[in-house]
Amino acid sequence: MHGSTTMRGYSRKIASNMTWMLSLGALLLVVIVVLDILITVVRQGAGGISLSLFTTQTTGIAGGLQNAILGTLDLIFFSTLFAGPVGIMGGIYLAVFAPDRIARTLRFVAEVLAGIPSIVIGYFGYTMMVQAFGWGFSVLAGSISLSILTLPYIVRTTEASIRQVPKSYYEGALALGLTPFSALRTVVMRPATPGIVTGLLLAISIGLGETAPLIYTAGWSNFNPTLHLTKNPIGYLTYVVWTYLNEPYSSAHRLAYTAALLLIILVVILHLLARFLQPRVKG
Amino acid sequence: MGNDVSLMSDVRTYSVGTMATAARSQTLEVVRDAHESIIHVDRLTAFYGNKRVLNEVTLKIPSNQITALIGPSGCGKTTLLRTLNRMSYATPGFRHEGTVQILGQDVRSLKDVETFRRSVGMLFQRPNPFPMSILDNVTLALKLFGISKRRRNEIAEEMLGEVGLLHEIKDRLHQSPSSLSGGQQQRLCLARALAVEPKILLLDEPASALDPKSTRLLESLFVRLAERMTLVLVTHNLAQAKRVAHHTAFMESGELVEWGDTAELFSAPKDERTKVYVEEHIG
Ligand SMILES: Nc1ncnc2c1ncn2[C@@H]1O[C@H](COP(=O)(O)OP(=O)(O)O)[C@@H](O)[C@H]1O
Ligand SMILES: [Mg+2]
Repeated sequence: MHGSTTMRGYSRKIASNMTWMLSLGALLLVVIVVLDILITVVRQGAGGISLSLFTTQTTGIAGGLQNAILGTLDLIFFSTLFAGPVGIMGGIYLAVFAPDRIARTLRFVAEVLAGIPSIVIGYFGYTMMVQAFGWGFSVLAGSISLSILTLPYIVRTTEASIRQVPKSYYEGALALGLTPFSALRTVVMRPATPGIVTGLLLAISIGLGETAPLIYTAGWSNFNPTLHLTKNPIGYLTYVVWTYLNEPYSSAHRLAYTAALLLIILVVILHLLARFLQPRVKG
Repeated sequence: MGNDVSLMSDVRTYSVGTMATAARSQTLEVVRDAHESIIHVDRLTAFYGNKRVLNEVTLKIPSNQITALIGPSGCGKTTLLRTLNRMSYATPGFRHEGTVQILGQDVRSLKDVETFRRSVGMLFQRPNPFPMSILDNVTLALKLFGISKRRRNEIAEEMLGEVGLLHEIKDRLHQSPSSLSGGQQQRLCLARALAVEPKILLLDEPASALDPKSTRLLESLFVRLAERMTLVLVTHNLAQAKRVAHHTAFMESGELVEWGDTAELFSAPKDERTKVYVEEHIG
């Protein structure tokens, strides 16, 4: 009995050491890969950053990135406009109002949605919006495709943030005679907002890095975005990264790396903001 | 009819602390004074999903007195209490049969739940101050009801004084309630509930998380409040029921076993189940 316990203890110790070493190895591998990507992108892209990058539009495979930068912001703006309110309201509904069975169903739908490859969403957007609705390559088709992609994240993070607020706040407010809406607004949303905004920022950064849903729906344009929501293709940074790396010209490569660097900077800023807003855990 | 109410108590004098209230001899079927019943529960059966947690509960609660609900944990006290102000409706899957009449209104078919809830205040098992300043806790509801700032602050001062908090925390009104002790937080919640001038107060084990001194303080407040409103006090503390309640109802596994004058219920229980419970839990 005694022997077998120590044997088991011994082998457990080996197993735990091995797990530890494997984890460390995996971590090192990830760090090295990420560093390699970062260094490459910075080395090849930093040289391209200049004022004219922001003030001139792409011409062929050279020029600036003004059209792509503005296009990215345009797409992000509209996709957040669509996915933000719907996602936040969905999260509130799931956290506060939904009966168990409906909540389970909706959560399942959200999970399935989150699991759909983004290229499929792009193709769906193409057949549905670009073709059937006749919107053509456009901000509208592109941003709706992006919002389908980010919606599940927003719903999930909103629900989680609201569930962190004690239910007794909500009930206490109802007991005073507040309407469910007032109760949510005054005692639930306030403490939940940092978490919800964090989720929103992370959702934006996910949308920022997507190419697949956009190539079929937003198209590409060498010109700055217009005020038309449909029929006008639009440029965006990930397109530059994706396409120009395949061109056999160094000016194209330079532009692709610069676009990648801009994307990374944007994502880092969003994550820093999110980190900053993260609700402080009370000690 | 164990569930039926027939109250026959002698004239006796009630005294807690400095308070003294005369509980008059009464038979509830023949209501004839200020203590006419204000809450009628008639064959209330309640479910969470398919699980029945209340079984044909019938009870009348006299006004301007304290009625205690006692019974083992899980017997349905909280559910009964939360059905009185429709709070249990906020739990997905809850439903009930039978009627609850309060202040002459059928709780199920209320047209204006918010106005109703203003007249039925509630204290929860754990103090639940809102995440805002102490003063805002008391004035939040008043603000939403459109009462002027000056009047709101007057009411807040009056209510904080009523619960004995004003002199204790006069210089901390704009601070977060998290620095208050548990007992002070619960009294803040009481002041918050009183600010909207309820006619009935539902108290769900309001002192179960408090030390003996805070408990006694809260009890003396309840006794004083009973001069102008009706209190329903859920408690697992039989000594507390004995100290403050005019009437006591004993519940077991979803049934109202026995109901009557507090002193009688403890000294001469009619039902064997009450007798066993009281003997096990007193002293
Ligand atoms: N939200 C809920 N969903 C399902 N069952 C519940 C819920 N709340 C309470 N119950 C069950 O209902 C019964 C009565 O609970 P409760 O009214 O809280 O009793 P008490 O307050 O007397 O302890 C218990 O068996 C409890 O498990
Ligand atoms: Mg309870």
